Amino acid sequence: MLHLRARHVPQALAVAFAATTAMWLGWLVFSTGEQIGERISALSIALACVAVAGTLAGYDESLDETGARPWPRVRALHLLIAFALLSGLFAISLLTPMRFGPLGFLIRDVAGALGLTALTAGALGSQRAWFGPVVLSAVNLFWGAPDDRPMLQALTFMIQPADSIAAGVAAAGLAVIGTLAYMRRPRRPATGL
Amino acid sequence: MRSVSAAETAPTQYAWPVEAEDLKVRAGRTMAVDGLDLRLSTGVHGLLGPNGAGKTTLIRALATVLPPAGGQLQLLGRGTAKGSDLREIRRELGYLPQHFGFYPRFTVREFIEYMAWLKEMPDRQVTAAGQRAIDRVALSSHADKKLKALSGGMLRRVGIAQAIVHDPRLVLLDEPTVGLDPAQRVGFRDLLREIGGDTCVLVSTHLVEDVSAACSNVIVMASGRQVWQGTPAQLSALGGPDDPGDSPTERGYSAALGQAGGWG
Amino acid sequence: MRALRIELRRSVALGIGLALLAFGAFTILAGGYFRYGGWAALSYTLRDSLLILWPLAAGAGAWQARREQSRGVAELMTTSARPAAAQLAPVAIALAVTVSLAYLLTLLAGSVRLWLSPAQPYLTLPGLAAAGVGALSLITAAWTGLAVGRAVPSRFTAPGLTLITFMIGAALQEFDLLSNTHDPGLLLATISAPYQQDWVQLPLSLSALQAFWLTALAFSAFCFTLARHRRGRALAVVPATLALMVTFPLLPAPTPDGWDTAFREDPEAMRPVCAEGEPRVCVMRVHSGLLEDLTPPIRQALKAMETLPSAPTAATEVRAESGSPDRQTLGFEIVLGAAGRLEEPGLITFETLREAMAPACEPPSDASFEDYSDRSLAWDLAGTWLTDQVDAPRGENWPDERFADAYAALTALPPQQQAEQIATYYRNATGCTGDLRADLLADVTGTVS
Repeated sequence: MLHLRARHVPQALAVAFAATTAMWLGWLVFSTGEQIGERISALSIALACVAVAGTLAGYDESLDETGARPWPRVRALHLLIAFALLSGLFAISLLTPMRFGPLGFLIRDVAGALGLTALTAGALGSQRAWFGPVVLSAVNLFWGAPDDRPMLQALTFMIQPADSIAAGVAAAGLAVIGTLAYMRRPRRPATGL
Repeated sequence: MRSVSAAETAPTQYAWPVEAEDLKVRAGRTMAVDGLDLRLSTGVHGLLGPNGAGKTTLIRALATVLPPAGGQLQLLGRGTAKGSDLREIRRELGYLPQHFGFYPRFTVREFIEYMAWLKEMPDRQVTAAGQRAIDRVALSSHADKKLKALSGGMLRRVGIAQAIVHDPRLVLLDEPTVGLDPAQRVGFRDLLREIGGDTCVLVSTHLVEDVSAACSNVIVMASGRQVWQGTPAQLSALGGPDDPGDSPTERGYSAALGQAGGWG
Repeated sequence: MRALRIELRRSVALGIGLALLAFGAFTILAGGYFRYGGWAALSYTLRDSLLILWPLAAGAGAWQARREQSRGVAELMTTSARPAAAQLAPVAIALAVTVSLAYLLTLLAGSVRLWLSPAQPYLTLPGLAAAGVGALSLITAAWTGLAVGRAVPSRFTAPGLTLITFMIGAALQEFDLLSNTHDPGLLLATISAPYQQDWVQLPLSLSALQAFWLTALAFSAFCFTLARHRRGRALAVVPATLALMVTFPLLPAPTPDGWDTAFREDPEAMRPVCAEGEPRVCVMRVHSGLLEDLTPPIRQALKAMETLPSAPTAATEVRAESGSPDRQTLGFEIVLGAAGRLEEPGLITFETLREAMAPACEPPSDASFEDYSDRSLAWDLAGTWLTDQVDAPRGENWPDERFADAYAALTALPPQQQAEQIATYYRNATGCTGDLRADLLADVTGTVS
């Protein structure tokens, strides 16, 4: 429990849940369809991943390092639980009249975005883990619509249809590479701005 | 921007750089400084006291961070109620907080110069003053390193340098020797004596040797009040052989607190 | 200056400036409406990209605000002589400088591309003002970020603010939430309904209105960041609130059919500029840089039409939706390619002639599919015959497998007869008389079909 509090998990859960619910409610009120636009769905998922990014490290990563815990396994587990929680959170919408997208879409996006978050945490330090999902969101927003070129599909995998192969491969690749990079430990100390 | 600092134009018209009468300062809900009378002249004053005695609260009040909750407080001949007076005081105030915050991406030189700028030092003097301050804390070889790359002791020295860069008339140092190794502490005491020649310096510490080596005056606080004041020699003389401590000064300190021992 | 120099080097200012520059450059290189126009299109494309740049700048501001949250720093700041506003100024100015500079540099880079191309930038005061408002908008974004970061000191603030503003922008586009009354995108100085032909501009009055509101918001954000107590913060939001109440009702509302009325046609940009010599060829002032390249192929088109009955004797640029001004003047459209160059210069004569041969009237309401395709085939034959460019791409309109045979049959006729048939077609097509296919297709309708 203390570990969860040190990692800001309660706040992160609150942020993810509140943002997702707000989006869902907003769409329920303003839209006549039964599915949230894929750009907004992608942004909601990115937002939830940013909340997870806040839990990837305590205040001082070097302090974490010295803890006598099998860190790589703890970190992998951390990501796995986050993945399950977020997928579940978004999948709940499948039971309601307004869904974030088909199950395949949701799982792909959560896996890919979370992988990118973990990858950024591994490369730039956990404090900057959110750079990845934010930049990805900007790229998605810039293109804005599904596209048939595989490279673009991979780059904007979060807004592609669920059956896009290139998008699925990109998301799976990010999930695997990101998990490995994060398990190997975040490099930079957390004190920097 | 002002071209001349107030210190150059205004002669010192006050008898005491720090003058407090029945001073009360609140820290959160408790009255951490409760009815303190204090007069400090030019020179180095050591502030001793057990944990929770109100040392840090007193220093924060003197640094104009906390407003007095009661009593009188005059700093450098000015009251602390008016904004214009506060600004004049702060221009001539050097302060090292107990928890020294810093901008990790700044280099040592940048940080010192930035602080000099914050103290409204005339711009053309800043470069030279920054270099002098860095030299005085022996950080010249690290001047262009980023703060986040420095060790704890070096950071403490950066903190001291930023407190003295603008040649203040009142210097408040809260636990400045934490993290310094013995050789650095000796150097720091020399620096203190040098600054104390024309400046009022108040140093809070829990290391009694620092006080005996560098201070001309010692104040012992307990429970928000001053319980003893005198020279280090007087403090050493105060202690009897039964008082706990490894040195005459420590035994004197214990005696001043009137404590039998334990964790003071 | 010293503090500003340090902040420029050490705050997030430089990083966010470079990031915005990268995104901006990407925008004008990789896509956007800039592909199809000149300076106005470039400028409005960048304004459009504020949808992405604004949240990034705001997030950077919030990220920067974290630095001041360390308790020790706050204490050092409190005990320094400089007033709070002066303490905040260096970092606020550093952010303002880099985000606005990134925007203006992107604009400059695009402009240089245009200057190097025949289509020179056409600069007007309202156009420059509209570009300036975009830069101002980013300053407001960064300072708003500082204020939000100060108000909500949390590790989630900076990314949360960025993503939520992304969402607001996307949602506004997706729903047209309020656009049936007033376009809220105009408040962030984004342009949500792009209408980006080169001869339109945002009026100065709108730019002034936006600048007023954005400045008020930036001022409020600055004051909010300074305020240490709740009362100060409440006071700080007053200027922005007042400005919003004044500005919002004055923003132009879109017309019921969705046209963005923010834009106005610019008569000076549309003023005809003509080439020396005869026959007369004119383009809009905004495209005058292209006149030299355009004149020969357009004159070639006029020459090809010489033999037609009451053929046009002059040519002028027209807008896509409007045809030739009168029968004596040949209308042509200018299609700009990447960075203000002419798209397909080799096809100008052909395309112009093809447009000129288009039937002026709709077919009768009871026309069958065959009627439509025959009319189209006749049009295609006539257009092609004038230049004999059989291989020219005809776009996706009516690819008719009968074309090759029909064209062969037409060109097999004696030259005199060919000319007569084309003339008849032209008379019928422009005068809305007779049957367009009668003569031209007489030889093919029986054989193929």
